Amino acid sequence: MSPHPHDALAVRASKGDRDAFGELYDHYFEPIRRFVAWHGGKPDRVEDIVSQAFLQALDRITAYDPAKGPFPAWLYTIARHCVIDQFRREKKTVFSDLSLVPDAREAEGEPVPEERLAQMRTLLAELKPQQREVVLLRVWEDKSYEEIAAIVGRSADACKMSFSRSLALLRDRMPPVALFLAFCLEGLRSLA
Amino acid sequence: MKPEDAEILRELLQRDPSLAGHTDKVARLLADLRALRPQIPDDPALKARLRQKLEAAHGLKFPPRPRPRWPQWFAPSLAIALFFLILTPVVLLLAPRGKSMNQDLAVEDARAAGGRDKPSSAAPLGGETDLERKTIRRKGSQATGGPGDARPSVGLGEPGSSPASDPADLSLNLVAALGPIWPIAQVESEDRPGFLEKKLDSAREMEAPPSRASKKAMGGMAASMGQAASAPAAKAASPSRAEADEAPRPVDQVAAAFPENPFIESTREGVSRLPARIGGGSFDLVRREILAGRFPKRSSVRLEELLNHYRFHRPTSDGAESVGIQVSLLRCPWNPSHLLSLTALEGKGKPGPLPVARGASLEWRWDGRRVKAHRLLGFENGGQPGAVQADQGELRAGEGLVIAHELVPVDGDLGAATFFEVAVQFTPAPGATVRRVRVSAPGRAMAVESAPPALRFAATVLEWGLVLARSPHRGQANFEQAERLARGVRDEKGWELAAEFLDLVRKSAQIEAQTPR
Repeated sequence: MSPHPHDALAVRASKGDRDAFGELYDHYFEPIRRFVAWHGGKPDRVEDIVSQAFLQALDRITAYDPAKGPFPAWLYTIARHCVIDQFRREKKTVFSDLSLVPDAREAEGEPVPEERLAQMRTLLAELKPQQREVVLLRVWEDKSYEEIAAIVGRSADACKMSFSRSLALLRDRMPPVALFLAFCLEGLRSLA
Repeated sequence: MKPEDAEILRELLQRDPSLAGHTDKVARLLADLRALRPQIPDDPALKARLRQKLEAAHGLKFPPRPRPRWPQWFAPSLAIALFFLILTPVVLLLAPRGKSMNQDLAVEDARAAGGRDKPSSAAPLGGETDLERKTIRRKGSQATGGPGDARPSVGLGEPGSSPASDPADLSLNLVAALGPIWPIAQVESEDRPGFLEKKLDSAREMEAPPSRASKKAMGGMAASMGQAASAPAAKAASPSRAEADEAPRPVDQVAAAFPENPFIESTREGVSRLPARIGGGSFDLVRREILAGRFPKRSSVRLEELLNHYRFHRPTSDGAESVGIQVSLLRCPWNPSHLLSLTALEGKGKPGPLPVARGASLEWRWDGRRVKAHRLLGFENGGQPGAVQADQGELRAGEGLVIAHELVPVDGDLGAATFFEVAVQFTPAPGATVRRVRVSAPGRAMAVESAPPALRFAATVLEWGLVLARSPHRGQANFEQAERLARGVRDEKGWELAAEFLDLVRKSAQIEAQTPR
């Protein structure tokens, strides 16, 4: 796996450089918070989990070894375990309750009909948790397969396969009528 | 289509060329998926709050990221202005010589082109810009007093080329100085050593050879306990965790090299303290490795996390307090002459924050007349328990933790007596007096086989962890015994949870049997 630009900073942090850890915290706080929020849901729970994640990262930074993987994957793995632990304490299945995801979407891009989004949300919820996690890490987080593999503890090839199969499932399950209507709408829009 | 989606589509097509006829559908699918992505705005207040929490938890104040105090365009503009400001007098100083600097440089370049001033192979010009190179040539020719002696190797910092002696050097040094002009913000330094430095210090202490006194103490303990604790423990102190991680596994010697908490004589250290805080993740790591057919790395086997992966404790003492504490004493399954103490702590009430329980920490007071030595199981990551700050703990209502100690009773005395006293202390509210809830250990230890299933299960998880860790203190612990105990718990009514654990123990035993020693 190719080294990440922040690996050197993390190595400095592992050797006791407080400034380096401060920089990493500043850089990764929001991405980790979003990652946790997407999977963890409620704000008070997100705060707890993010807090735990960074506390653990600070605890374990001395053991960080760039040869074992890039720093972001290391940090995301810690955050992911914190999410899993939290859900386990609450006796909930991780990454399965999409209703916990805040219903606010990115404003960029063309608007997507609400019905289709609802269908997509339903279909996504029908995927296995492991499959869904890979899909969300790839599409929402734009993580490479190598990074995803390091985060979820599987091989990059397995993640690629999982992603490919998940998309095939989603594509096959998407109602043809909805697709047809979507294409019609797009056609009309392009004509206009 | 977004570039990110295009890349995903390209990857998918490489993997499955049959998708070529469905690219529109897949692109639409990706766009829909991306549209589902929730928009979560930044939360600087939370960021600052957690930063304070990190600082408070580790007693450090890592400096905030330095931010420029001026707009981004200010530094380059200032540099350019300074450049021209200083270049102007340089040009004016050169003017009385009858030709401009440009003319002078042009002559130099023409000479170089004519072959008389070819740079030598040793010329350190590889990294300079054209302006620098020309200036260096000019400087060289002046320093040596003759136009034909243009030695390109004369460069920055060369003796005899101080800026004061030659006005042309001013521009040269300015070019060199443009870099240092840029960084404006300064990071405030702090004399106090930070948490990471403290950790490194403690790691170095662990790496250092044990003192004569500690060697004597450890040797004496090992001799009295009939264990081979001193040699491995002394050896354990030498390699760092990183080295332990790098080493091949699961060789006993390598695992034994991981520094573990030693037995501590009660007469030497009669009080132990620990914050009420336990990390997570170890169980998942261990389970993943075992299911993959490998022994986990020693550093990922954390006894306290394995034990607290399960929630099987329900302290019932001190009904009036918001914090419940319970102590159980068992005969140690892996060493019949030792005792296993389990201290369970729980925040009472409905799940959620427990605003009364700030800085919750536990304190054990060992009765030296009854407890010869005590050893904390796990918590190797946080350094020695005594060094952990007491205000690091946090406890939430509805949540709890279990902390295990292995005890060596005095002269094998397992009779009815109070072995130790446990107190949990916390601050009910900011500025309030620290509260202490105190409980005495039971006077008699239970046999593991006759203990309630929760205690049996806790002992089993610990035994499994000790074997996985190849702990030098594991005594008679082995997977078969752990499996037998786990099987007994599984067969109890309402303990289906133990079935999964039992599978892990069996799998661990299989891996051990297949692994060459």
